[in-house]
Amino acid sequence: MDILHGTLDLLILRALELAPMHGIGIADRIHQVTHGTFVVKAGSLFPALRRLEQKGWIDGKWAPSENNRRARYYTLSRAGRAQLAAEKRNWRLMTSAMNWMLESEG
Amino acid sequence: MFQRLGHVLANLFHRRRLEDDLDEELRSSFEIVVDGFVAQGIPLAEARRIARFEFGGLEQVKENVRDTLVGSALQTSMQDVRYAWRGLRRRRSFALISVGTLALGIGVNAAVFSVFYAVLLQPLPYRDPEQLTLILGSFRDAGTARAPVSGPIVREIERRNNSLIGVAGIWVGTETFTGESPEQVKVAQVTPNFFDVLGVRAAQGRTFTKDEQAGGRPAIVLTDGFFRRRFAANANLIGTGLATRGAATLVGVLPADFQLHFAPDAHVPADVQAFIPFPYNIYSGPRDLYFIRLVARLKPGVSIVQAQRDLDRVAAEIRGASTDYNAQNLRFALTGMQSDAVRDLRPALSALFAGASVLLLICCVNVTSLLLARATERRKEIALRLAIGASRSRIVRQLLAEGSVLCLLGGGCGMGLGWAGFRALRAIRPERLARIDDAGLDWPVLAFVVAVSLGAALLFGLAPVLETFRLDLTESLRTGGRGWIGGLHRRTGGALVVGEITFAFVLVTGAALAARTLSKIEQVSPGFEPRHRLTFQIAFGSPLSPEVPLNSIGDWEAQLAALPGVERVGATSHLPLDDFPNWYSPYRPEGIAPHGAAQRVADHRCVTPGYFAAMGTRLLEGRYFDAQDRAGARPVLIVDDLLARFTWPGQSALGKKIEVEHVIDGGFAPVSSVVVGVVEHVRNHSLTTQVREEIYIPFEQSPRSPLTYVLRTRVEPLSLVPAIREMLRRRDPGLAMAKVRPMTEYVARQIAPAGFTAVLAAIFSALALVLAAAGIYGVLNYQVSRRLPEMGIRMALGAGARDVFRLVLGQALGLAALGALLGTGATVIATRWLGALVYGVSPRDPMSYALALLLLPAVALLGCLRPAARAAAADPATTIRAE
Repeated sequence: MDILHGTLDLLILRALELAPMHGIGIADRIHQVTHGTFVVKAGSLFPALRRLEQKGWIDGKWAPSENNRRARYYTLSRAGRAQLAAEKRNWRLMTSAMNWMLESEG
Repeated sequence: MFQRLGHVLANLFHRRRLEDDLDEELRSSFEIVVDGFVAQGIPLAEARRIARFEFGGLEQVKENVRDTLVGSALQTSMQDVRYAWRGLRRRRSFALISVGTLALGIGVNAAVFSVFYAVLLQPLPYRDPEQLTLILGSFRDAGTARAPVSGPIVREIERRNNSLIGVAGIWVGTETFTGESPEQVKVAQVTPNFFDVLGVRAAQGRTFTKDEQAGGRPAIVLTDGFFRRRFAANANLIGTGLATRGAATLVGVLPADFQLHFAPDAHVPADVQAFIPFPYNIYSGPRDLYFIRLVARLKPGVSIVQAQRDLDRVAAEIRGASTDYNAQNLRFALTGMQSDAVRDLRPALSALFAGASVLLLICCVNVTSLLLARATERRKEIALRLAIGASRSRIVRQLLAEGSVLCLLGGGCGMGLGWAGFRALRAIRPERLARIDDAGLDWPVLAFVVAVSLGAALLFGLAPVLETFRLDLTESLRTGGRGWIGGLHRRTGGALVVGEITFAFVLVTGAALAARTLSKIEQVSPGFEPRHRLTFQIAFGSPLSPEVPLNSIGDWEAQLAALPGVERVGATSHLPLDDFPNWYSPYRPEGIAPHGAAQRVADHRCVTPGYFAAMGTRLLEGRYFDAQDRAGARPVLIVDDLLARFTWPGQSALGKKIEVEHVIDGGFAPVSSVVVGVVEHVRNHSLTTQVREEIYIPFEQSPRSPLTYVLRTRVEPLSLVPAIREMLRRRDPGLAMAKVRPMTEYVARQIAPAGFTAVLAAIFSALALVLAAAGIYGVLNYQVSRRLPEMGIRMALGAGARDVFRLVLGQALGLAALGALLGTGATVIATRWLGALVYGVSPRDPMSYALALLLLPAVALLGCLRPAARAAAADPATTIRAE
């Protein structure tokens, strides 16, 4: 399933909420947690990472990976945490609104 | 916020590093994916293949990332520029016409400004040229406020002034280099400190020392050009004697870029080839022999005004100390060397520069009108983009970007055009503009072009921008932007048309005046006949003592006259229109009391008996000189009609006596002489001005050197030169012919500046007319296209095609009439500064105005014919349906 426009940022921030991860790790995590619903392609993942980094919500640092490869690990910044909280609220509001609309009678 | 700014800066300055980071991250990520597959038991090669498939192309990913990196303003601007570029490429004809028009305007200005800068603004090639000043003399008897001074005056100034570091003098004569092929060149006699005052050092050897003055040790300094041409730049010659008629040691050679810069009336021409110290003691010379031109260097920190006050005091002291100079009412005037050297060129060049600027204005008007029309067309597009969320500032930036791209292209092409134009100007430049030969598109010219282009960009970009701010979204979307033009474009368009006609009117009138001036100058009767005249100069010895037996001169003339093709032969000490230092002195008519302070001064010339007939100067009364008017015989004179009329109004001048200065034994002495003839006035100095009256003395009674020969020929004048050269070589191998020219060349040189001005003015006005026609066409065509529905309705209501045609035509002609009216006013104001440039016609010459009044409506008509026809062809049915 395609990722809804504008939600990739939220997915990435949420994935990073628990622990720092490298890019492929983030994609895998989103894939796993959503039970394979969302597949994040490299072509959209890396631009999104750069964009978030530029906005100051995540910080990228080089570190060795579990297989001893040099990988770029991303951590959620303080601003990123605030942003995640705000986006979560937004999202909940939006899904409730959508549900009310879809489930309303006639 | 700061972090974000940091990223922007990082993007800008560390782009390379970011790219490397990205590369590495992508590569390592790819490997991590591969590792994942391998861990699932897939063979490495297969794992890589799948990973590549899942990952997508690496380059594609990078491109995607780069697209998100548009954090920096620069990149947005680049995007705007790219956007503008694409837009312009879509509207190719619009872009071509705008860029072409701009390039034309900028090119013409770059070319003219190059000349303007090189001649008027570029500092003289001397050390601290702003400290250099000329000291001009003024005396009761000088007949001019710009006179040279005498040697004793130089000494007085040197002794008494407190404001000058050095005072140097110069006077230009001739010298003949003897040897294999004798050659006579202009040689300047200078005070030994001349080059020190200018701050010029010899490129090889040295300049003069103090003990070389007054013939102490004869020394000579050559220009680089002459040293190369005649002596093959042989450095071994420095320190040795050169073969000249007054042998001198070559002490140095000047730098290649050395050049004299004096006004033409200073008679210090630029083509001086060699310098020698004054060969006699000028300080003890005659007090009233005024011939030395002075250039001085101000002390540091002293202004020219302060120096002038100082020299006023010096003049007063000299007048107090000497009754002679007191009687002469001696005064000095200081003027900056640079501004004085180009004094005569400033009006013409300023007028040309102004003309070029007006042309640029017309170009700007055309481009502005094009951009406005385009902005109107894009109104709907812009409204749409605003509606879907584009910010106004972004749209303004984009409009400005479009203007900038146009101006960049226009400026670039204009620079190329300017360079080509400048080379063309160099090819047709008159002699006086020789300074532009070494000039190019220097940095001030480049700066000028950049400034002009930027100014134009702001102007063009802003006009549509201002309109955008007034944009009402819904209104525009509803009417497709059409409602807008009703007010704006009709009004602005009208103003643009009027402006264009006004500017073009000024240029056309100016060009007409320049052309009429040129033809008047060509029609001037200079007091001689230039056609079929060969002239050449021979220097027989030093200026004041010709070392040639007088009878041999007559003999030589007889030989020349015997050549086949020669009709008459004569010679004069000073050929009309030549740059040789003038000989003018006071004269005293006997029996007439001097008219108070207004003592008369006349040009003096000594001539051989055949001279007037050879030149074609008409005799009005009495006789020409003949063989009897020789040394020792009764002293006689011929005067011009100006002098005769002024001195003896209503009487015949014949038989009257005048005391004039003769050259006797190397000095001047007053001699009472009888007038035996009256000839027509000769324009000695310029075709356009009658400077002063003239007195002719028989050569044998007051011999001078060099002599300029004039041969009236039946054949092409220059075809005689080889035969004459051979004759001269057999007579005296030490003599050389100089300035071998047909007389027409002197006249052509005089006409050249007016011709240059007229040609440029004609080009400017022709361009202005074409641009005006194109501009009017553009504005009207656009207006008509937007008003087709209106036309259709008019026709549906019963108006004929002819009425509609007339309506458009009438509007255009109304605008043209208004433009012509404003143009007339502007021209009347502008031509007030043209006084020095027009000759023989009034700056308000009705013919010139009539030409403009005729041409401009014609141009307006031409421009509006097609739009009018288009309007008349409007089909009521279609247009109404389209509404």
